Amino acid sequence: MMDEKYINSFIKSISQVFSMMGLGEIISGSIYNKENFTCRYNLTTIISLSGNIKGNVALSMPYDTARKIASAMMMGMEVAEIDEISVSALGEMTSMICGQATMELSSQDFLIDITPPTIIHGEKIKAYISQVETIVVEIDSALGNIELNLGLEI
Amino acid sequence: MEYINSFKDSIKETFESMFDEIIILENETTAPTWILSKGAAVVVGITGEKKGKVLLDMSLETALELAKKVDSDLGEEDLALFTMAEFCNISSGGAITMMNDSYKRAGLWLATPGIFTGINAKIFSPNMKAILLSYNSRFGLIDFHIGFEGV
Repeated sequence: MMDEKYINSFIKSISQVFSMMGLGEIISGSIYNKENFTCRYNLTTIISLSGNIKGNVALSMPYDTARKIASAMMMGMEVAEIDEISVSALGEMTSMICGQATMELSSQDFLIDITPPTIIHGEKIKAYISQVETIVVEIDSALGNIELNLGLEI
Repeated sequence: MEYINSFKDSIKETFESMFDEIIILENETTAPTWILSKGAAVVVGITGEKKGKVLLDMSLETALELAKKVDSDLGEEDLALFTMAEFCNISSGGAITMMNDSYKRAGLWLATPGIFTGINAKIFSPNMKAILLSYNSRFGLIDFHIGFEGV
């Protein structure tokens, strides 16, 4: 199982970004090794890492959570459906989370760079983000459930 | 947008050597900011002086047929997807090596590929100017979306 310090960096970063953006508090729940590649929810944002730590970080969430987060990030603007503007807001949030987490890890002598975000949504989405292991952290937020997927090669 | 030639060379060379098949570039155009996936997609991120990504998209049937060209036992979906990821990774790696050799300060790196499948899957690459290279092969259409931020 992946070292807790890597997992905690991302949980802490989600908490900080949510707080900073006025998205409320989060509670991290179960942490487990993913047995299959099916995403629990319809929408997933992905950012890749290169450097001392390689891999992918994916945030998977239901449409309802995605709409609420996008709306909150756009100053309360109504988000009736997931479009290019709301997707851009969700991508920005993922960039902030990964940027914050990698900055903390960089202070522990890791040199990490992140890629621009990709967002995928649809039905029966499967995501293969690591050939090693994928760790899942279930997160409960005021805006709904989020599944943090960490596929990191360290 | 000179970088696109490095990708064209590398994609063609990689496809021919990996699958022993011909691939034909049918269209080159500005990529839309989102696509409706044909069924299976691979994303390889690029970091360094410029950040970008390569998105490879094809049908699951095409991926399965191509995998059989590498190893006739590779019929299973997962293995076909890993073959597809390998194709995208090698093509992208060849291209950024050429770019790093040509422009000494490019300093580009590849990230680990992510593979995605789904039904009616829409894939977005916000805030990125990308070029769409549409290829045809004996096994179906193959699209590459290649883009960098701020290029």
